[in-house]
Amino acid sequence: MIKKYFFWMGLPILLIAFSLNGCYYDNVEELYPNTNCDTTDVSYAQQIRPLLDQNCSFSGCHGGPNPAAFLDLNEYSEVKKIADNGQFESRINREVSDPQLMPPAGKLGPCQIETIEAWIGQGALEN
Amino acid sequence: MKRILLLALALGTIQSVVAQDDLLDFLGEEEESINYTSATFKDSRVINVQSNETAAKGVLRFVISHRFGRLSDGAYELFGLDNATIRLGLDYGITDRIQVGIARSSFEKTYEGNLKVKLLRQSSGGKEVPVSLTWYSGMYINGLRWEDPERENYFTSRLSYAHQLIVTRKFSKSFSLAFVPSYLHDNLVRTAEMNNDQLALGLGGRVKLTNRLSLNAEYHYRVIKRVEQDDPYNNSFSIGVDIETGGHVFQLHVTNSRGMFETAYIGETAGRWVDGDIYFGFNISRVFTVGKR
Repeated sequence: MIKKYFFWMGLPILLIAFSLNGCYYDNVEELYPNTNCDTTDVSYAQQIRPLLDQNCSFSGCHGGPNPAAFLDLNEYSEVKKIADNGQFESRINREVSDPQLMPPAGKLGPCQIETIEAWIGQGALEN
Repeated sequence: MKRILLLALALGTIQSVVAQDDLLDFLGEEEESINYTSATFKDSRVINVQSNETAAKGVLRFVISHRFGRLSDGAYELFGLDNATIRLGLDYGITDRIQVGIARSSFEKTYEGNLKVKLLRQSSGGKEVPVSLTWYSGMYINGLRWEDPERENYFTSRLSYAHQLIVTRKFSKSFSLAFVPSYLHDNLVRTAEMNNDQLALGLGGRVKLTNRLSLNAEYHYRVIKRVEQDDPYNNSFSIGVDIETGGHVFQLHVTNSRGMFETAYIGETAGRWVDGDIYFGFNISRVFTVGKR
């Protein structure tokens, strides 16, 4: 009987021990201290365009023949429009659990968001 | 010789009478059998939080869960029905007391493995045990693309864990409560000020309204939060109904949590009820007997 209880109690203890073994106490600030986010003179062609291509302006989302919400982010004029009306900054800054967050697959990284915000702050130029 | 035989017979008879007494004593003790409490909750979850129920030996349970968008988004988004997150899960009972499971959530593209063990079962009769104790552990793998693929990224940074001790008691045929302390761990957090470990205390309950319908609610109070100052997250509160139809259990509810796994609904609930961040959702489970019973 006692043996049986040791077995049932032992299972979770083993599991905790196993998972503690895989436990890390990391944070992005200390794990990547040398990652500088350079947001001076952000370039549309060099920085914003690749971000949009990778995360937003493909077929099925804001690209392709039927872009979502009739918003084709392959076009600079459309990107400029959402940059000026505040939607761009607003939608990428929602919480992960917010259904309005863009991109829906998951929040952009802090440096990516900072870069977009800096570009909008610098006038959202086609530079 | 006859005398000796008679004596032996008499002694043997006495001995067998004593033995019979022992046997009767033994049977007498066993007569009061142990009644294990069943159906404390209708399904393996109260709403989001795990209940003490597990899949029986050889039973595979398929659970489909959805949480839709905000009710306050209005008619344009069909009160949130246009935006859904989904969780698909499979639970399997290795024995009547051990259940293993795998799942995939669209929320942060998370893969999940879990284990649930019934440590102690509420019972009456021969053994009085006032509560059931159940252990639940989950491991979650965030499947999102690396935010910076150029830097040295570690697989362990994707992992988070949850451990829960589920204390349940069925007070009467129609009323059950669950008290669930939860320990959550994230291997990687964003800033040095954030906690990798979180601690929460959860309370869930069920009131049976009819044989097929019950009212459920749960609340999680975070004792140690991930972010202590300017906390963007809130405590999770959910309320809903369970409807049982044959081999299916439908759980319909409203909640301020969009995530459907432990580190998400306890640790990352961004919605606030007072702001109208209420999400309609459901869990549907179906059981299949696949193994030997």
